[in-house]
Amino acid sequence: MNTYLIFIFKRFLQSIPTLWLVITISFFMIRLAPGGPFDMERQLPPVVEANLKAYYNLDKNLFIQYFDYLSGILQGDFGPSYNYRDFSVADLILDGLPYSAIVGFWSLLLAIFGGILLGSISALYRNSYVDYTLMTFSMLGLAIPNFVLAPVLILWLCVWNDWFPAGGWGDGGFANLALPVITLGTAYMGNIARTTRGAMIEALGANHIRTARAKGLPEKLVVWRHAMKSAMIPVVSYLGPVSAGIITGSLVIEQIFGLPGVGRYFVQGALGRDYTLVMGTVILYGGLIIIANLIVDIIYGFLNPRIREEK
Amino acid sequence: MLKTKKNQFDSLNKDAIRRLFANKASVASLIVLSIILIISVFGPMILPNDLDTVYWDYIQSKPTTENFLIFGTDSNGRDLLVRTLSGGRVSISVAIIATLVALVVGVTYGAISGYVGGRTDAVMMRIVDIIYAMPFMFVVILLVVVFGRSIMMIYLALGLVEWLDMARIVRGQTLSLKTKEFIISANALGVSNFSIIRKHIIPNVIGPVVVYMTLTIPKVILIESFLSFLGLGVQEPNTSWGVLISEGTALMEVAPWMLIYPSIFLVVCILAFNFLGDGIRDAFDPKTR
Repeated sequence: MNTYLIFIFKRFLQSIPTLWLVITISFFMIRLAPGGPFDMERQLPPVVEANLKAYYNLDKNLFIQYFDYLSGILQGDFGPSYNYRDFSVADLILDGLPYSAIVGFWSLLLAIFGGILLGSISALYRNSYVDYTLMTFSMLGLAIPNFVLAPVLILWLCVWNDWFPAGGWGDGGFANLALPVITLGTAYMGNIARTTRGAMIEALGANHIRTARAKGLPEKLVVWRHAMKSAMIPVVSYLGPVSAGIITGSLVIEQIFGLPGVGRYFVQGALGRDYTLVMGTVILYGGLIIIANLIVDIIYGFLNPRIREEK
Repeated sequence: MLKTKKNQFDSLNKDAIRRLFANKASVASLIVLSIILIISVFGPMILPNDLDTVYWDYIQSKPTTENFLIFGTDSNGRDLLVRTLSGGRVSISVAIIATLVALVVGVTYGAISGYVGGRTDAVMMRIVDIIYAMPFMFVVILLVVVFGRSIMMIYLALGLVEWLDMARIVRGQTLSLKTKEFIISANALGVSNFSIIRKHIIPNVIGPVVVYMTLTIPKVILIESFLSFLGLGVQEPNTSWGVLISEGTALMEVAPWMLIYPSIFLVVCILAFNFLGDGIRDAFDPKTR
């Protein structure tokens, strides 16, 4: 157990430079982009522009700004937004975050549990019609990107048949959440189902399963406890990319369904050169993806002892 | 001696190709992909309408046979069939070029890292690990926003994303190849590292690389469409499937054909690439079936 704790600690320390690298790269990239946050249709008088820049400390040397920004982040200050006047980046993100988090959470849950269930059923009824049907659907889910699935579902279920509201948060109940969650989760559900099927088939053929069966364990226990544990290893290693995909997919889903989440701030901010807002969303999303990878590695080490011994 | 080696290698590949053509799903996918490729490349040349011909009398028209507007028109009165096909040109060319960039960078990096080994390998792979952990979509979006929304930028950005997996796969293969007798004897005969990598390592890692390449192409098509959907991809008057789907989404209530036709092309193309990728993987490595 002790080596496992050291492994977790090491892995945690490794994720800090990654986050720093992300912050640094995005900071300089967005700053080097042509244009600035105060470019408008009508040219501002030079004095006003100079004053604005001085007010936001944009007139200083870029490296000084960079270190100011880093020390701000360390103190939890993400700066003011340039385009949404009178709002700080932290306010904007904290306002939007609950909505994004709820949709992301349910999508992840749907993808993981739906995928594992479908994949296991497919593996148990290998090469039967159940298997073929489920795998065809998984392949379809994987091939239909969320920005195609979302409008098609809206067209079918909201416009042609008035079964669901076409967008907006509403009261955040089932009717409002169902379509965003389904469109965001389906592709990854298909992927996890395919991974689970392969891993489960391999696990069911393994020696320890034959031993378990030979000892007369009930089939349910053999499948859901013994085979499942080794089948989950490749599935868990796939969860990092899944979380990253769901987090980036939310950019599009929030736009299509008109949800008040954080996603819209990233693209709008980048196009409007709202430096601090872009940085805030990059740090949020980057941090989330890095944490997701960290959690996945920890679970992976737990399931597969060889990994944690090596490192 | 050398000759038998070559023959074995050939027959291995021949077996793989034979298995691939025995798989109905892969053959069907190959046919579908060839059709999409051919009509995307030649369709816009042959069809009577141009990419940017405007029919003032047919703004947002339903599919009709008049003026050969069989897919209907968009909100500017332009032929949707031609736009869908030339969108396919862009989407597929982005996918192929980005995959080639990933291939060249990834294979070179992975082969060098694996073959040289030791501290160089540790440092090179550590770099890959760090880049791998970065939220890539966001870096790509920033790249595209910052350095202009041109096709070149998309080729480059997507190529830069996809080389990491390729490098890891090739490194793993190289590590196991390195201990084989024919590499050791080449080394003993004084063949330079560069030649060993080029003549012996790279030809022998081709199998897994081809499998991974076929699975990378649909991934890149998806990312390009995603960027275009957000308005960060290809710009007017050029178009891609992502752009068309995004335009169609905005008008789906009044002009559903603008959404449906490009979506069908995109989904069929990705499905076919995925089936083909699965088929190639099974052909090269029959155990995984």
